[in-house]
Amino acid sequence: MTGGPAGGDGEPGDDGKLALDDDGKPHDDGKLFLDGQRSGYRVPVVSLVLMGVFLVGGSVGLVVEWPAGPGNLDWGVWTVVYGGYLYVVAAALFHARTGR
Amino acid sequence: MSEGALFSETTLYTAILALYFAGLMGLGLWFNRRTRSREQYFLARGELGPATLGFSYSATQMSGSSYMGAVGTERVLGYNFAPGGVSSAAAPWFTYILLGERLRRVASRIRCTTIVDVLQARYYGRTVATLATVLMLLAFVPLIAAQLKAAANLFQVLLELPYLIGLVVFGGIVILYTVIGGMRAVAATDLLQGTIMIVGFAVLAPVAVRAAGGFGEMHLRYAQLNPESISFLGGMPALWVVSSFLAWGFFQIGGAPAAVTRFLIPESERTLKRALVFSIAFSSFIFVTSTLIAISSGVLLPFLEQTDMALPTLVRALLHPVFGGIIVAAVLGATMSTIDSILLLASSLVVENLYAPLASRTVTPKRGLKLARLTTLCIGVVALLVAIDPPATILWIVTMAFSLMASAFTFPLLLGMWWPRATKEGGIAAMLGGAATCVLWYALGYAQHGSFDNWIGGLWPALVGPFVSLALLVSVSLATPPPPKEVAAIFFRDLAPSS
Repeated sequence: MTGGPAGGDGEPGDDGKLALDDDGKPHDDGKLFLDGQRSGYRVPVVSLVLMGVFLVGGSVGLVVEWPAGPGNLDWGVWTVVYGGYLYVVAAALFHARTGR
Repeated sequence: MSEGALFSETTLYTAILALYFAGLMGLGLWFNRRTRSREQYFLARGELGPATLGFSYSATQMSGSSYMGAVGTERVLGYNFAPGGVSSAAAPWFTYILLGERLRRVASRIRCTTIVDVLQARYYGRTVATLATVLMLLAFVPLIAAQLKAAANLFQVLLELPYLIGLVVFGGIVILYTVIGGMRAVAATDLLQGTIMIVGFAVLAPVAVRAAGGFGEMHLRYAQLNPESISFLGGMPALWVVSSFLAWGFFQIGGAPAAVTRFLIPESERTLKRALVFSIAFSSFIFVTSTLIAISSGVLLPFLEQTDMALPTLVRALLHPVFGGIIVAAVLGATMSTIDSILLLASSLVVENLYAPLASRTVTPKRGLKLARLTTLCIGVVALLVAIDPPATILWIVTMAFSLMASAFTFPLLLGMWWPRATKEGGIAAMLGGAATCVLWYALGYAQHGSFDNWIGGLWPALVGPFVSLALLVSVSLATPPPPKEVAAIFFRDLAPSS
């Protein structure tokens, strides 16, 4: 990607080269933000916490002893594997709906 | 084949696949006529809806390895390996939230075409771009070769074609398809192939579980055959199991640049969030059913020697060739999605990040497009040559390439989007140090175990490399002058605490 002129008023340039100069370094000409992006970005705190719970909880769940469960599997498999799928689907839906 | 059947099984499989590939070629040609510039060829910015984007991300992240390699490996390792599947299914959740929206916003500001453009802008200079391009290209060739091997194995079992012929036929089709189609064709067929993948596994999983005696009986029989693999611990070291769980999800941030490139496409946050729902539903369904298919294959095919043949052998044993043809189309679809996306990214890196900056004259849209297609062709042929005699089973070739990229790029990308203090020197040190550590860890593991699938203490290279990379990124950044204010303006102006 090489340098080129910036588009005006938040409109992208037609050469796909808005914000890097000839040395590949970024420059800010004050026209870089599309209107919808001037608003602040909300850090998805709840999702970050859920990710931490998934990684730490899942790791711990893999090394502890679990009692036998249904289907000739132990409860660990039900919790971490099959429960894990439900957890990530629910967490992703939560983020998609709330943005948090 | 039943007596008196009109067509042999092989003929039916061949006919279904021929129809399938003819349809794909038609789609590629259709999009070819609408592609005007290399940016459109590589990215198709703002032209994809949530379903196409979501399926395209997951179909690229998963691959022939998800079907052939993971089913084969999980057949042997059972629930020692299953946490890696959960983690892989969670990968879109991590990447969309931690990287996707930040990347989308930055991408629309700097109008970049490749993920390396973003790294170049963030770490302000061409050194990072060149380094990232070289590392990615190093990883892409074996990654494509692994996918080609998966497809050729499939052709071997189902169509009774010699490995080499299967390789050339399939490789030729995919390379040609990518050359003529570009990103819009790739993404559109990802949606189609993703749908076929879901239908295929939705058919195979219940049939296989039932053939193995039903859910409970299947696990009982599997435990008798593989007592160490019916739970998490037993077959592999605890650290191996835990690190596979940690590596396959979070580290897709750096480990799957072809999938992450999808975040440069959408122009609205809403599209990205809705795409996440499609991705996560798709990935979770595929990995749950993969586990069931793998366990059932462990029961039904206990003496199968070639691990990677488990899925096609099961298909041939259990399904009518018409349904089998759908499954094969699904597997080839996954394989194709990965290859075409990686080919596109690889050629975009060569054209945009190696050739264009050094070109003595402006690269016109027409010339850029021609060059992109030629590069796609060259990289595809090199991968095809590597696939003739690959060094390991599918999954472990894929894992090597993934580990190298995860080690080099996860934290430079992540902290590049979230930590204003990360500097160019820190980024370079992190990429080099992470990649070198990964290679070293593989070498040490090979020296100790004589294979590429076990490592010192069971600790995955995809975990060790990134942490060295993180340590280097933070320490070197803090020891060097802060980035120019333009970087902060472009990358962090909108970063504000959650309300």
